[in-house]
Amino acid sequence: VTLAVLVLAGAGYCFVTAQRADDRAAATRHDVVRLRSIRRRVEAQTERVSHEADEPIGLAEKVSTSISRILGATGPVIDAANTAEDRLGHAVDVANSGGIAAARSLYANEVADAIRSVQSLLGDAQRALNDARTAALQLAVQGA
Amino acid sequence: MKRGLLLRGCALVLAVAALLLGLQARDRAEHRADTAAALEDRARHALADDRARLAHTRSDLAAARAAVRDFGAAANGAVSAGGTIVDAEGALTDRLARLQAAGAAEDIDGYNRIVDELRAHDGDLEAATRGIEAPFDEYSSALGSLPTARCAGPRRASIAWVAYGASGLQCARLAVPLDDAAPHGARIELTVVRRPADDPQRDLGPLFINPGGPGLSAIAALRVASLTLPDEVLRRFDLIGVDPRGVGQSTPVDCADDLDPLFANGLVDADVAVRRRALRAVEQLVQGCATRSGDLLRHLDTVSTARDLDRVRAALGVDRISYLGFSYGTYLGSVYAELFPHHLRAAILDGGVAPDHALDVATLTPGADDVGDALRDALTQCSSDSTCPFNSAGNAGAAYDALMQRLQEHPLAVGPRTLGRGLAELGVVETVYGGREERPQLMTALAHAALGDGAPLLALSDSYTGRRKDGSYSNELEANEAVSCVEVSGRPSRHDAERRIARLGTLGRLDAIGLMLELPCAFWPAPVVAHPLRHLDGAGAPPILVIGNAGDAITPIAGARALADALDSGRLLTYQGDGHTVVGRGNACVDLAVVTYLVDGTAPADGATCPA
Repeated sequence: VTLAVLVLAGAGYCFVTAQRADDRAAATRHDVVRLRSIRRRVEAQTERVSHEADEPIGLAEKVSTSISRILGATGPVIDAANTAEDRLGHAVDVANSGGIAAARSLYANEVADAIRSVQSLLGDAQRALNDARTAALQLAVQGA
Repeated sequence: MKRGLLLRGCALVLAVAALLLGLQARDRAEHRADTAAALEDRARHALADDRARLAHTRSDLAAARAAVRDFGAAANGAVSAGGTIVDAEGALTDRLARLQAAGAAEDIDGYNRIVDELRAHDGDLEAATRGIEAPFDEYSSALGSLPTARCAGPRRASIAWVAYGASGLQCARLAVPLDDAAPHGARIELTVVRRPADDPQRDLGPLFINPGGPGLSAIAALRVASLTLPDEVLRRFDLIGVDPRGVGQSTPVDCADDLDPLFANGLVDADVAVRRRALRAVEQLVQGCATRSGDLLRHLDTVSTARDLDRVRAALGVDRISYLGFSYGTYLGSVYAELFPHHLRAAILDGGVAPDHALDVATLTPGADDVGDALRDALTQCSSDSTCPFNSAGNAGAAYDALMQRLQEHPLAVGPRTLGRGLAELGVVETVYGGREERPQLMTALAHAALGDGAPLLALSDSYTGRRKDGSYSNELEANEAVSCVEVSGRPSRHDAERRIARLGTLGRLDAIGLMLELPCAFWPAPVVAHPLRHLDGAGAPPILVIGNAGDAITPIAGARALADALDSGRLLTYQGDGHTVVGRGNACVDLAVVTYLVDGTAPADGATCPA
């Protein structure tokens, strides 16, 4: 009987220990949930700060790409301007040789097309310049 | 009696059963508690990691703002020069439109007046275009000093993309094994950044970019490549930048907060006791690498990094990748081709280095022949050009040697810092990377130093070492030493270092910086890798395009030739210009070869050339 009582007491102790361990596990799991929630907040904060830190970099890169677009457009602008000058010269030659009507048609069509092409390239370069100026201004604000 | 005994027996059995159940319940509960505790431990570590990340990100933000303040003037200069170009284009367009109107109206006088006007302003656009070169170069180099934003995503065993900053890029943090031989052991982190293809319908898969160094950030390189690679490449490929292990945003090597002792002029002082003290400071600094970086130092070899690239490939879920590597990145690319030839779709190795000399001791000593030759050429050219700021009555060479000797004996004060011989030589090396284009900058900096102003040369050396204005360093230099020291063949021993310091003798050109860059390896707290891959042929890989610049002093053309010869499928393209590497520098011939190769898969014939 004594042995049985002792064994039962041991069993009781084990159950109590188990209960305590379960309580500990529950508290720990609760802590884990709390830590995860803090972590999510920290991650969100990091994302926001990272986004903020990247802003000046993105703007600086935008200045760079816009200037590159302007530089990239110079060759095509020169080519298109040469084409327009060639067509203008041809129209002058046609007019000088008496072909007034043909020359007028050239001015109205081929020459006009060539000039529109230069204007279109100029428009691209102007837009790139505006982008560069806007980004540089925003950069100045960021740095202020 | 018997019944009583039976009852007692039963009670005992029941009690034992209860005990067993209790023990089992306790064990299970303890296990649950242990599991929860382990989870909590991981969560605490992860939170600490995330908090550190947040602190770093905040410091990135401060650094980005400070950098932007610093180069605001450069941005305005570039934009103003861009405005001059557009104004010249506007004026040209206006004259052409007026010519058309005058011609159509048969206004001959008006027409001729405008033709005269056109002729008078004939060179305006070309002049404006030339005028933007200097401010745009200044701006581009300032852009390079901006820190890269940190990836805010969670660290995972698989790729989980999150938005990367404000730039439309994406990033992910991938956990990989520290040691290939222990795939389930300690983990390190790789940060991967992706720039999705502009035309996703016609996407040709990932194009991995590595800028070399070793130690340079592939993420920073990806941002630059996004601005400089040909449009067709940006349309068709997802650009992928993986900071290699030890570098930048991947688990970084860390040795010390202050790396100035590595370049202390005391290392070349006339007094041997001063030199020995300076050497001890280098040794202490290097010991800090073991304290701060621990086991990572033993696993920074190129083979491990190549395996990391393949882990990223697998995590991306693709069978084959394309690769664009520069300088040391060509060695990394050839190791990848050797280990994973069937996972390579295409590879461009720009600024190729011979695999058997990829990381020998000469790579640590910029006084190597070609850099010395480039410096001699620059000084000779300056001597014969009376407008060169360092002309020195036609003897720039002698003036240079005298200046270096003076700096060795009496370093120049630059604010709270000093410019000694080693840092001055490092500034010189920095300009050699840019080739002839950067010679005016070098000569101006030397002329300033000769007049007692060391700031320009010091700024050049800071650009090389990644030293920021607040005295902190990026991790480029630590990562460079860490990779080089575990791979370098002919690594100096402690005894070598002590002997060099004891018997310094007279230093030749670039000897001081050669010595300073070599010394840390003598004390490096990790062994040289036992079997680095040096003899490789990339058997089974598709054609590999190797590019070399005929006038590259950093990775001379002979290295590119040797690399193309070593690779079974290597095709050499020579760019007949100078500077270090060429892809992304806007050379039309090289761009065409790159696009044709990457997009169509057609490599140029071996031995093809592109004019400068």
